[in-house]
Amino acid sequence: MKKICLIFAILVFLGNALSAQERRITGTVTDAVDGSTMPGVTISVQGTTQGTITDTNGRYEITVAEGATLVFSFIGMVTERRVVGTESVINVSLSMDLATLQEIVVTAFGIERERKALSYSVQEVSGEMMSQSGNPSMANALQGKVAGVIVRQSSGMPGSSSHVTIRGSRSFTGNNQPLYVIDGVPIASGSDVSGGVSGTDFSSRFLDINPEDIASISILKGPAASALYGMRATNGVVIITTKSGRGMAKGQTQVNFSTNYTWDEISRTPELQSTYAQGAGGVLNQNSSLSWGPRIDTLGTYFHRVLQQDFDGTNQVFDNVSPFFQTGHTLNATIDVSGAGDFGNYSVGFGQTEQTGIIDKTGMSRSTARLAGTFNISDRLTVGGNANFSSLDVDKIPGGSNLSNPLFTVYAAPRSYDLFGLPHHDPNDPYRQIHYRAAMDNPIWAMENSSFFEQTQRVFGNVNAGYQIADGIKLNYRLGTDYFITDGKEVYEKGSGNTGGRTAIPSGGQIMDFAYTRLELNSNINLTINRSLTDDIDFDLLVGSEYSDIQRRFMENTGRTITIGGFRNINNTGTQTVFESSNWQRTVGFFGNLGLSWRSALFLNASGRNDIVSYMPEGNRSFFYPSVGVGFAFTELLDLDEGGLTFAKLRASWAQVGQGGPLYSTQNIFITGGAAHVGGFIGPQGIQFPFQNQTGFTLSSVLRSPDLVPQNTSTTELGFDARFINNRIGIDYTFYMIDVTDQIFAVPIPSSTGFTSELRNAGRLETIGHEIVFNIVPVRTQDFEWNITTNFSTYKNEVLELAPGVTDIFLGGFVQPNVRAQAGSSYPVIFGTRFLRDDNGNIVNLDNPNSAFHGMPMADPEAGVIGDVQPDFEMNFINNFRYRNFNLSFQIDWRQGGYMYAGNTRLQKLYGMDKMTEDRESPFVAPGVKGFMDADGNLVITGDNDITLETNLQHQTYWLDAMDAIDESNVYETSFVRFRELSISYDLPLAALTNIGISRASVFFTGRNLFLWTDYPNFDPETSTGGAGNFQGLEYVALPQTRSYGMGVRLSF
Amino acid sequence: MKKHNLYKIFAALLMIFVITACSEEKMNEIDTNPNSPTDVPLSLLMPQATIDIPVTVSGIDLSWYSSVFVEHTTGAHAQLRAADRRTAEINPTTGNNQWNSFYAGVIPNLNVIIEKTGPDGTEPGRYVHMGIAKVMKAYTVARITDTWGDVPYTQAWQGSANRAPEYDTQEFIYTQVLQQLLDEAIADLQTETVYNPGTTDLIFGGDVDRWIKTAYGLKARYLQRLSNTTHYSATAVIAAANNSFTNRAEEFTFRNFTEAPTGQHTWYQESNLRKHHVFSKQVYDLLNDREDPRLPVWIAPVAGTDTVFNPAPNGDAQNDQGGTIYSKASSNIVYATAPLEMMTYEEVLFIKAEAYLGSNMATAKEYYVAGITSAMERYGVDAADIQAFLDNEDVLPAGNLTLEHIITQKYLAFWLYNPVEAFNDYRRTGFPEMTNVIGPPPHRFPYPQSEYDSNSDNVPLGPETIYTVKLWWAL
Repeated sequence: MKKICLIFAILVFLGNALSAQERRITGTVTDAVDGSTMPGVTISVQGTTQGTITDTNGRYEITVAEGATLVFSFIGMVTERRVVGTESVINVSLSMDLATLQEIVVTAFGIERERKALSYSVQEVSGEMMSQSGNPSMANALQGKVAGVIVRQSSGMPGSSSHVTIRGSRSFTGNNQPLYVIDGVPIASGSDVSGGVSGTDFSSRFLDINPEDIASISILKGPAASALYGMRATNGVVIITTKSGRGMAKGQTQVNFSTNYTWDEISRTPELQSTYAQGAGGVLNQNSSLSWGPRIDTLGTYFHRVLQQDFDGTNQVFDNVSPFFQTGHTLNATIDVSGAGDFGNYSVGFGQTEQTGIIDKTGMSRSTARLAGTFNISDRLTVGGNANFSSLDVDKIPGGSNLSNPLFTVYAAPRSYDLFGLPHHDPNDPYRQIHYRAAMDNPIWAMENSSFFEQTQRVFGNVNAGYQIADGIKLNYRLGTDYFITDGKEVYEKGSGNTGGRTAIPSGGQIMDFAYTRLELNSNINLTINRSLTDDIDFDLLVGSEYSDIQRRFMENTGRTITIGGFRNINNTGTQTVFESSNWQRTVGFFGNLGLSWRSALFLNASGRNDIVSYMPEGNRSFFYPSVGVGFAFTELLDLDEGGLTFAKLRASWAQVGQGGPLYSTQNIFITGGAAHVGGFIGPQGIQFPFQNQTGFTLSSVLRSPDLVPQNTSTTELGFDARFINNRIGIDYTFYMIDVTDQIFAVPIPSSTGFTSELRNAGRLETIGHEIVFNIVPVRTQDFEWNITTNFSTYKNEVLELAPGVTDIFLGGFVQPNVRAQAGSSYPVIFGTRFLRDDNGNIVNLDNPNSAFHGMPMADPEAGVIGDVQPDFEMNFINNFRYRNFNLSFQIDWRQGGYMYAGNTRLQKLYGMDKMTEDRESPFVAPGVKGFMDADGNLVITGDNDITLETNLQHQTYWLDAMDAIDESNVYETSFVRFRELSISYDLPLAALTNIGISRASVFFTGRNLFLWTDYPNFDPETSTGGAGNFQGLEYVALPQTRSYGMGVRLSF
Repeated sequence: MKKHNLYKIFAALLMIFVITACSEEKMNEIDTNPNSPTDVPLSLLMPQATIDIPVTVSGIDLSWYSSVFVEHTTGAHAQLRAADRRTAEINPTTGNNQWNSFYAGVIPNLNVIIEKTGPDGTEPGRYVHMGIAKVMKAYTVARITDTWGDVPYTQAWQGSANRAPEYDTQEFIYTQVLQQLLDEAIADLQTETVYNPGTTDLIFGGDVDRWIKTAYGLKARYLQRLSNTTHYSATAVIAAANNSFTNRAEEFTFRNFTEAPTGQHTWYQESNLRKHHVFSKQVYDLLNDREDPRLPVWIAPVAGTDTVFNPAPNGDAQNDQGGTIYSKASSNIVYATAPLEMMTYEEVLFIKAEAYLGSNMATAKEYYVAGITSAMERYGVDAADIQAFLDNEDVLPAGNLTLEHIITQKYLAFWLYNPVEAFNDYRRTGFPEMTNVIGPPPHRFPYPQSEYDSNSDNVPLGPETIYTVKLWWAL
């Protein structure tokens, strides 16, 4: 390892060896369009390593031999060459390179490159696109804008988490979300606390970023693009550049103000039956969770359990869903001041977002402030800084399988029960609930009494400096930090069903206080050398080192049994338990990148990075990751007609990157002991320490290993980029193959080894995918332009193997159904009870007249895969129309395929609340064949199913017992077409504004999630209970998504 | 040049920074787990090990299933009712928890203690700790082989060095492992040392003498187990038993359960939480037929009554989840701080009686009577009632005592908390006869699902063989 350090140090010195002297030339470089001076233009002496750049006034000075050729280059401009004669002043004006206009892309470590030089796929999203729909969440605004990027939003609640993947998944149980880098510094983006089937969601950390602050986003999709980031690059990188005043004209100061207001409403409510009352078997039962009771139109008068008097329930059908939801509101306001001058450039901004959810008591409040700037201290030295502060408060409610989740009984409340009209607690005891169900919380009571919030204070930013050591040689240094603390409180009030408190005398209750802190430090030093070697060959070299250090600490105090109702201090609880967990990790990386170009047509790129990581075993901490790529823009060598093919490039790349395993997985640990702790039979207690004044520890049954190596991801990417008719049609196609080996996960091993599972390297996951980005400008005139971008992506994630003897691993969910990684299947899959099918795949219905299940589908005794979570493909259509001062853009997303277990719909069917269960009188024959299992367990088919189900009770048995026992019956395809975004804006005529000092003003109207076409029943198919975790594809009483309409104003002074 | 010097200084500083930032020492410091220790002293391992023996090894699933199989109790609800009705015990998941806790819980901790106290360990010279750990290991290994038969031993507990341990025969474990471990333990316990586990030994509080007597008692138990094999030696049994307990106060019984909800006797916790066990007709009849004075002490009337005693027939009991149909063991037996017997004084006496049976009938009878007497005294039966019981010809025949006499009384002496040994004796001798209307209990527990899943090449028998393939030492 020390050797590597040494090599690096030598490289740092490399630049010093270069110097020369002779004839003195001075001059100014200007922009051919407006004549403004151009700082930062590289002037190199062809065939030598000599060179310089222009200063802030566009002036340069260089001493060269007579007859030498000076090469003037600037990214995005046409390179000019001048032979030095007898003159001492050479002024040059550079013109835009039309072929690469706006084709400068930000790549790893913020290096800007021409798009045509890239050997891999990078897609950019402008700040305007991020903010135009007023979405307060950056990740959610990204959905559909980039081919291969899938954003799964856990719900439409303010501050909810999202799961973002680029080109599918790399890891069975580890992190699958990309690295986020903001202004050159990696930052925390995930929840760090991931979702499960119960409890509250934790907001994702990219919510701390105000989308209005973003200047541009660059998505490095594959490892070839991200290889310079080494161990963290497996899942791709999202590079965010914030507004900094860069690129503004000197002397200009601009004030931007934007605000928007949106109305949010529930996007979809379930279709419920409205014919049958509470009960079962056609009989009214006021304590039942079911709605398999009598017809409401024949209900008649009965003694009402809650009202304690006779009640005529005939035709009394209550709407228990819509009163629960409200219109949510979101207000965003951002103001920033940016400027540039000889001193450099700066930007200062403030933002505020206030959001109230579609469910009472949910909301989000975000305040952001930032300062960014660059200062030119001398011709050679530039220093800059970037500081961001954000404060985010989220009020939320629990979702999933949680007895306090209000939606459990909002959707399922019998139509004969007036949930919102009847009292929700005993008039004499506010903690004694009244509800149609015994164990669960009354939603109104829960909203009034329980509370869940988290607040995050965060500071992130960096200080940087750049020093021009010599011509074409620059040393850059950046020190960044990201620090936040999230603290929260969750109160299940005394009497809450989730704490078992709905007893005759209200009991239970729970108060949890938690705090989570994370500190990341990042230091990056690098040296860049840009040179022309010959007339035709240019090269650039980057060498550097990155240091990354992350410390986390989580503390949680849980108090159980609230003593005084309504008093929300943890001291007001009967017992308190504490938990603390902290960790520390460090990565030190050394990297280098070499780029060569020949006639701006053939590009070669090679990179290498060596990472030394703390969380791998001693003696095994150093890993090397290479990448190579080639791009061939053969059209550069041809003389082309503007009307046909304008540009074409073929590209290929290969890269290898890694991903570490869980922290502290290299040494076995001892954990707090106890007896009968293995679980199973005895229930919750057993013997726990301290016992008889002793404390005991036991060796963890998870075997950790000093032989672990990081997961290895190797990627091959091929693609082409072709543009026609003066770039008005563009097609960019990418094929990729990702092979992940040596995953680190808890592999089950026979416990006769002394351990029940072992953290080891095993398994292989392969992803093969295609991406197409298609751009077309059908119309382009002075007044009207129509622009279409279509993204298409498809990939297949397949688990090739897990570990010897291991067929599947559990990712999340219930005993059944659950979500798994299964060898030989795509990743992930839904696993559960299947329909019993005959050899031809027909569903088998029971043929046994003595059984209550006669004529109903049978369950396969062996559970299996019941759904593949991955979609077949995803397509996004982004249209933009500009007519004079009007601009209209909209986005339509189409996702095809992919399955989800619809846990919420399952409950509605089970309870007899779903519209599907409304017809209980028409005879029907279940599709498929009929048959039975003989005494030996063999299936006997007796013919096509012709058994008619007629009675109300049979309908009930069909849904409640037969179908419900088969998880497969609740798995639905999640295909959809969605009108994701609409934005209409109007720029006010300038003439009217300049008098009052306004340089630009526009008003806009937005809509999000306006229409949804899907066969997925009742709810939004883009919902998942797994939050930001890997376990996607299982929905269980998830909180709903929203549809929004809004309007706003943008002003610039 | 001056500038170059600056660069050199800068580069040197950078190098120093980089090298220290990623040195192995620094990385090791960073990679030190702050949440869980990677090593703990003996004083924290002993409480775990000594609570595992009475609870994990002797007081949970295995003993509950065994109790139902050997008809000490009748399973009247859920899993145990299924076991009683022979509907679920063939399922490989039945033994999962116990197998995992023996192999990946109890024994790894004992191995750590043995290793730490060994010459290369971090706390060498703690011979008492080492001896106790070996006694407990022998006890646990015997439980493992008695439950499943052939099991991994020589290749077990090697972690990733052997991910598919081969199985050793039961014969190997009985003849090459258990006695040797116990002999080593006795030698360790007899070695002079200043170190004593004291109160961290939750079973005996560091009483070396009682551990030695326990080791000898276990030696006798495991030697007697070989009665059907060519390895059997009555003399060896008697020799070992002679060094064991001389009264009930010395015996291997756990007496330290507490009233705290997480410190209670596990059978008591089970009785409150699950209520699976009810009083069996088998035990009721064995007691009632001989007018056994222990019956009124042991049985509780049906809940809600004072005088209705309704033991449950094995194999044919109704589901009594509510606990309202059948009698249960009384609160004289099942209470929070009840002692849990792992090897009693009377067991040693009965072992001696059996060992002498073939050679010296008078001595055999003497130990048999002593065994009954101790078993009665345990429940406070007075001398006159004991005598009256012994006067019964069915209990103590004038003529020759049979093995059935001994094992039947031993069977009752094992009630309620040592059903595993009763089940072992039943499988070894066939006594007492079982009454389950559905059929006899299985010969073994099925190997766990985890072995079929990840060690399939080595698992010797399928789950379906539990009714057909007997243990090596079985009758």
